[in-house]
Amino acid sequence: MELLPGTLDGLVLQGLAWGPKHGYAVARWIEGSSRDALAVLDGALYTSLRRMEERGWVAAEWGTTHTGRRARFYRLTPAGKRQLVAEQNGWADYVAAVGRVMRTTTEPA
Amino acid sequence: MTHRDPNEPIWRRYVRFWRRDLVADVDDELAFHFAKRVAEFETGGTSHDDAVAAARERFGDLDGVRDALVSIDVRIGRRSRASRVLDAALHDTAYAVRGLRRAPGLAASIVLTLAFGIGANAAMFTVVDRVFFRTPPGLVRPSQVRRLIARELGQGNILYPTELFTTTEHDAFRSATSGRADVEGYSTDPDVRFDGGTEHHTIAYATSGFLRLTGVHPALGRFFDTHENRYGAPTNVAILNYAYWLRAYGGDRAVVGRTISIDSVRFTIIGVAQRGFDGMDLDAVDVWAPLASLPVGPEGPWWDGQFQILRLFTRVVNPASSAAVYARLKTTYSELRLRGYRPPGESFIPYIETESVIQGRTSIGLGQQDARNLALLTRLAGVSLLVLIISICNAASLLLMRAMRRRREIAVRLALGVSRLRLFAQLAVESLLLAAVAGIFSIWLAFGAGRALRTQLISDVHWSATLIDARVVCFTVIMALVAGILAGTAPIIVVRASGVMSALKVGAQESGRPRSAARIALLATQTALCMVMLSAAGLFVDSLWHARSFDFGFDKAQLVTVSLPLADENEIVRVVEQIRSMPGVEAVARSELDLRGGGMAQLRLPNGFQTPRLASPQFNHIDTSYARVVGLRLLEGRAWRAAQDDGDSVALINRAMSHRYWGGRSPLGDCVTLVGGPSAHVCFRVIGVFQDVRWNLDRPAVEQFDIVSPRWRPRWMSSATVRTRGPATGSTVAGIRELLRTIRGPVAYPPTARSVSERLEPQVHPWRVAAAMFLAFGLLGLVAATAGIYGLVGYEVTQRTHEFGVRITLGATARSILSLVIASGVRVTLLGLAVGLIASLAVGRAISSLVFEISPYDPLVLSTTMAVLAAVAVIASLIPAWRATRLDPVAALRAE
Repeated sequence: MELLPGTLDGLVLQGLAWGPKHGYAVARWIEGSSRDALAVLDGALYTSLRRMEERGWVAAEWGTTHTGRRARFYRLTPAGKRQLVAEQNGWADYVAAVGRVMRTTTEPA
Repeated sequence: MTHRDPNEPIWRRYVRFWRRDLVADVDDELAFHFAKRVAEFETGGTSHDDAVAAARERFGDLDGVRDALVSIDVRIGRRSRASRVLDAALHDTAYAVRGLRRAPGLAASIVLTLAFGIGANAAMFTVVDRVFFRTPPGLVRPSQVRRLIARELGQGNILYPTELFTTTEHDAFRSATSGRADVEGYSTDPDVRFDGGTEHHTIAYATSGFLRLTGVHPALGRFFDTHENRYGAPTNVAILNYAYWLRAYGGDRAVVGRTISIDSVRFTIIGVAQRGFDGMDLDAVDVWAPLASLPVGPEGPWWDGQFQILRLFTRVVNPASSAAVYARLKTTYSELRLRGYRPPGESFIPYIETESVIQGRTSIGLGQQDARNLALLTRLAGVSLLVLIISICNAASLLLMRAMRRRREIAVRLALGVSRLRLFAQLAVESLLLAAVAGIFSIWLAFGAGRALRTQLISDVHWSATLIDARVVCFTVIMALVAGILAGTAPIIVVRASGVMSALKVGAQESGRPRSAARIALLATQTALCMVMLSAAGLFVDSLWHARSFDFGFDKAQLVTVSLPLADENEIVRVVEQIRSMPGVEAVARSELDLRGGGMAQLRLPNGFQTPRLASPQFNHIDTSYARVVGLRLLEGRAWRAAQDDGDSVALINRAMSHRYWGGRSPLGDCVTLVGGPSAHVCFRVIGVFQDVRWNLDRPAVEQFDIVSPRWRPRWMSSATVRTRGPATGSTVAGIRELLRTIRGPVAYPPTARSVSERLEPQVHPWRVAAAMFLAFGLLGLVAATAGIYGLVGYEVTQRTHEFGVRITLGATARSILSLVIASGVRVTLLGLAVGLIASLAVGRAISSLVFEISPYDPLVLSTTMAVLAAVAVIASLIPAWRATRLDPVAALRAE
């Protein structure tokens, strides 16, 4: 399934909601939680992370993985947390609105 | 050899060069990602190559994303670096504010010192900028406008510049450059009165095209036209200066069409000039009128043709041809002058040069004392820089003292891992903060001082521009920045020099070198500059004294001169009688010209010799009481006596004339005749020789020939000299003025009365200002130097407490301790004085043109200054020295 434009940032923010992750882990989390239904290019994911870093929604830091490899970890900033809530609400509203339209059975007057 | 990807974009190579780590970071991150992905795919059983291909496909456009990531990182890096610096700066500022609030006395004295130094310079800048750097406001493309200056050969074969031209010359220039350049100009009269008021105003009589040449526009109404500027048939129209329009008419737009009376001649106002434009020079113009409307004498336009009245400017139509146009002007003037009168044997050909509008400005339209004041201004600007240096030295040594006291704290911070850069930044922020506060104060100071400077120094300038503008603020900010950086440098050097360990070991009484070289250098500099200013002040005080006690050859204190131009003879007689009967008036004498002179007559001497046409003696007609009333000092012969001289034609000459034309012989009884004129055959017998009368401090006395006559009638000028009982006071002068007002009839130039000392005062004024300012600066410098010496010696005594304790225990007398301590203070002073002496000699050279009748290297002034400074140094050292002698040896020895 192709991702709707503009929704990737929200997915990535959600992926970081449980704590710092490196880029690959975020990608794996999206794949896992969508049960491989969403096709996200890895390149787009990294670009999204960088853009959000520039906006101050996420902060990046070099660290080591539990296997001892050097990796770049991203975490939510307070601004990022606020943005995440906004994205969640926005998505819920969107889904509800689209749902209402889709479920409508009467022809408009 | 490094591998270079041929496809790599060029910009990335630069990024790699500057921010190697950014690209490496992106590559590291992506490498990590691919390693994980490939490993993930391989666990599914795919081959390594297939796994790599799949990971690539999964990633998308690798190069594009990589570039995008790097460029975002570059942006983030740039922004975060900026915010880090800002954070640090805010932190350092807060830290500095906290630190300074704990030492308010120190902060206040540094701010005050710097504010004074910066303020003096800002004030000077408000004046210097206007005079020397700013082109006339409103002038369009000022670099294309040039001023005409003629070079003439004067007496003593000196080439002198002439900036004023005749209307004939102007016409010749115009026809010579017609179509290729404009040559236009104006003539000012700085002493007119508007609408019967008493305030002096400046009117400019301009040629038809002058305002067009400048490129300024009328803010209101229009400028005058050629047909309104015809000689002999002028239209009296006037254009107001914008500032004057605001001041006098409140900016009323209905002013066009009204009339303004200028010295009782009515002019119709036709417009207001562009805002800010007040002419090309420093004598700001209040009203512009056509040149043809210049007042006319009884015999027509006296000014037409032969009088040098116009300052001229040229603007070339095509800048490429300017050289050719200037050459044409040069030859036109030469031809014109060759056609006129030339002394026999004269080979010099006068010519024209052009120079920038600003270049010639400083000498034009200003009185001589103003020219001297301008010269003084440049020196004052120089001395204000010295004041700034002193104040920076002072601030630096105060900051240095503070840094020394905080060496332990600094060392602890260094030991705790604060980087040296951060530490320097904090010290620098501290001094910059102080300088910033000082800068704000100094603008306020500059406002007051600048206004005083303007009125005190150059009275002819109207200074219509605002005092504090963006340029002044800019200048002050730069000055404050420079002062802050310089003052902050000294403590930074000390911090650099102090090692962490040695500083940590330091106790309350710091060990290490007892006196820092930096402090000594600062103090010596301060002393040297202080000496420079005080010795200059001494020279000016001495000059002022010489100028004030200068013998002009007459009794200047008791005289009032009254000019009675173009008035009816019977009326003059009546006025003179009325003045004579006034209380406080001792006597009144009449003459054609007053003491200032200005007339010239070619004479034939008894041996047949004719005085040179252009360098003949000054000439005056005086009545029989003049010599006595004015107080001429007779050296030879006698004054007029009715019994012997009535009915005879007699003359008085001065010493210079007797000396030049008679040599050692006596001129008494010799016959002198005028060359040309109706009385050419009359023999004027010389009856007396008087001491030279001078009007100008700078000019040598010229030969003087005065015809004495009881029945003389004024030809075109008439003046009266009033001798008062006791010094001529303001009330006597006011009384005479009141009297003159009653006869102020339809004359173009009203009669005036001024006391001679008031007229001579402007000549002394520059020295008064110079003496006052240099003395004030010098004394402030002295206070700073004294405080510095006191601080240094006091600091040293504290440091050497232990040593003094030992000395006293070993039997040193109070006297020997005293001399030991004082010597240390005096040594620094002597170092400063040695440097100061050399600097003073250099400064003496720079101000030599402003020093009057004494040597700029006057040994008495120099030695007195040095003695005063040395004495002050001894006195400043006395208190700490006295404290050292009172040390309790036991306590001193116990001290750490």
